[in-house]
Amino acid sequence: MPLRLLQIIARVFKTPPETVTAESGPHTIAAWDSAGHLNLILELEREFSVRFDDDEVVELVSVQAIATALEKHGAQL
Amino acid sequence: MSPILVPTINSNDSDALLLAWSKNNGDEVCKGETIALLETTKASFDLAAEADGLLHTVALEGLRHAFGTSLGWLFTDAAERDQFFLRRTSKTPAESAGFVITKSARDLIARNGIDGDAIRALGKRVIKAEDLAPLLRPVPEPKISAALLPVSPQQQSIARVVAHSHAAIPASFILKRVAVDAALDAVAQFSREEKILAGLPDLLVWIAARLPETFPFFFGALRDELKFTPSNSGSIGVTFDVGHGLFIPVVKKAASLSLGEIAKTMMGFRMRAARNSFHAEELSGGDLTISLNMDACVVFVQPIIQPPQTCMISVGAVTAEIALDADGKMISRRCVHLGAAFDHRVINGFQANAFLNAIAQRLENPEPAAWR
Repeated sequence: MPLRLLQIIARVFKTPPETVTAESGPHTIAAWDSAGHLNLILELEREFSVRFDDDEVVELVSVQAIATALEKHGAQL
Repeated sequence: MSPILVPTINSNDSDALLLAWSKNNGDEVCKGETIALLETTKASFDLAAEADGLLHTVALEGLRHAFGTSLGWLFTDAAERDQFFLRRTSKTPAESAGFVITKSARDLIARNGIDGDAIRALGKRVIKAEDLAPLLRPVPEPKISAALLPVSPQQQSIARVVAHSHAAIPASFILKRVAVDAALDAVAQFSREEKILAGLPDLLVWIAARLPETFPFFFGALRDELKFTPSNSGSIGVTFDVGHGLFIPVVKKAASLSLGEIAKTMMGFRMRAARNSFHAEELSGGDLTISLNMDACVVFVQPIIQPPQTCMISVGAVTAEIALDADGKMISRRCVHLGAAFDHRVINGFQANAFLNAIAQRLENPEPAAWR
């Protein structure tokens, strides 16, 4: 999993980077609720210069799903 | 040739901001294609071409334009456009007096309606675009008094609604504390199984949308002379404010949607609130509204009923507390403060209490099998 992505997620949710893995998601990170999810998506869009579709955002509920979506949008991970 | 008019987008505004032209001056456009992006206090709006043709832009980006005024023209073809401008420019006194006006200068003259006498007064035989700079109307700078802060058009619109609500609705309010451990655990499990992100706000919409038949006076419109029109559509408005102003989009016909569909709709609303990209039709049609005030430590916010609705639910942050169980043992539990402002002309406290009890019962005893 790209270190840069893990670091961004850790920063947004104020959690130690070493605790973030490909399987991390709302069920493992307490701050990852609906409002936190919005902050994460906007930060990812800014960092990777991509724009997610509104419909796909609700399904990006794991680090792995986010990495896959970023690659689909052509982000340089 | 047809003018491109600013449509009457909603009844709360008299004009719209031209955010940007989506096409360039002179582009060929097709009927239905987006040619400009407008914005009112309520939402942004894609302006579509009403016919195939050549686009000629006149209105300037970044300025407000009244409903019904022309932003530009759509010409059938280049010949029609050229003939049109030939007629217009041939009427320019400056040219008829022997001046030479470059094409870019002619465009500027047409866009700004510059008078021929003013052009003649420049004292030049060849008029270029840069020569016209002194004649262009300056964009007025907003005047801000040192003692006053400007109120945005969007906030002015909110001001009208809340002032009307306060003047017209004798509202009362009820507040209850509701345990949400079971609901939060069930929604988390649902999210894992469905691979989506659902939360308590989504579940509240799902629950509220299924209550109109039991509590008809909470869903609908109360008009003058106490004429109440109930609605069973279960269309629920939800407040979103992520720092770009307050929006109240409506989850339409939520009674027919699964929890997953509601969660997807709500996440889309959050994104549009962050991007200020709501469509006008998403911001109307609610039968009841839920005011989300779930930031940490918020107990509740007094909701202001949106006329002609008769109720607004308020939900505060999830908080942990120590309580006693049925056996008198201390337990830790998570709660929210669930409130309802209600129009006392048609709803009394007894009904409001029963209404909140119905919601609380569904939160404390969730039935995930029904959510799909």
